[in-house]
Amino acid sequence: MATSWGGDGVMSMTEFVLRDAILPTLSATTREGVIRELIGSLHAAGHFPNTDLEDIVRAVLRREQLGSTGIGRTIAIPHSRHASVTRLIGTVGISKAGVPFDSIDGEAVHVLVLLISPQDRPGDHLRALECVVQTMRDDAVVEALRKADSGDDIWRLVGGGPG
Amino acid sequence: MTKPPLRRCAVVNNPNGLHLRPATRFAQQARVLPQRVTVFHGEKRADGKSSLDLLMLIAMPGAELWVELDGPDADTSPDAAEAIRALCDILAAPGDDA
Repeated sequence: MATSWGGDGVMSMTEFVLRDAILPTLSATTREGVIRELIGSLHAAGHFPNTDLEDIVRAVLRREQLGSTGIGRTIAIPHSRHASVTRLIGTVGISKAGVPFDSIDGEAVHVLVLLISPQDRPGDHLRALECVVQTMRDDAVVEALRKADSGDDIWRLVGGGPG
Repeated sequence: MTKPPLRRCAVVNNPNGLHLRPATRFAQQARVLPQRVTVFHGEKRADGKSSLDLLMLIAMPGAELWVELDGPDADTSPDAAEAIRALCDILAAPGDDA
């Protein structure tokens, strides 16, 4: 089984979140809409070809149909695996208004972390999920993310430096 | 006298490991039980009623997990025995999805 994340298994969100793809203000108001917006932002950051864009959207939406990735506390982690990426990539988006997401606690989602991982690296995928959950355990971080005004603020909140 | 918990082992057969969907299914099923449900992966332990806790186990394919039911009638109830079997079936299911 291929895995690429070596070392002690500790991962930071900044190792897979693309800073240029962070969206501090999502404009869509539906689950499909915000997912499209986030994947569009990842695409604009240049990590997969235009020809794969719609297929990736469909893969993430298909995963949502199997069960919402709204994990509660206003957080969702939509994700999928796709052959067009060679490494785990992700982005963060904030919906100020909140999006209905069929979350486990029934709450609207404000903080979204979207992940796309290669087909053959389940270890990276699991560690990324663990990393997001670990980061979001702190209510203060979630609250600060909801209030963040810029991509730089979000980047810092998920562990990035000021540079 | 303290009664012993009910324990059962399961090996993760999903090629993607214990990811969000089976973890959510496990937690949903565990939450309806009257007993405390704990899942062990080596030195790590997770509250089986929390899908997020379960994700923190980072259980890869082939991982050996121990499920423990502790609390009312865990050691004697046929329902508890059936419940722990069903929970282990979720962990061991080979089904593959996102």
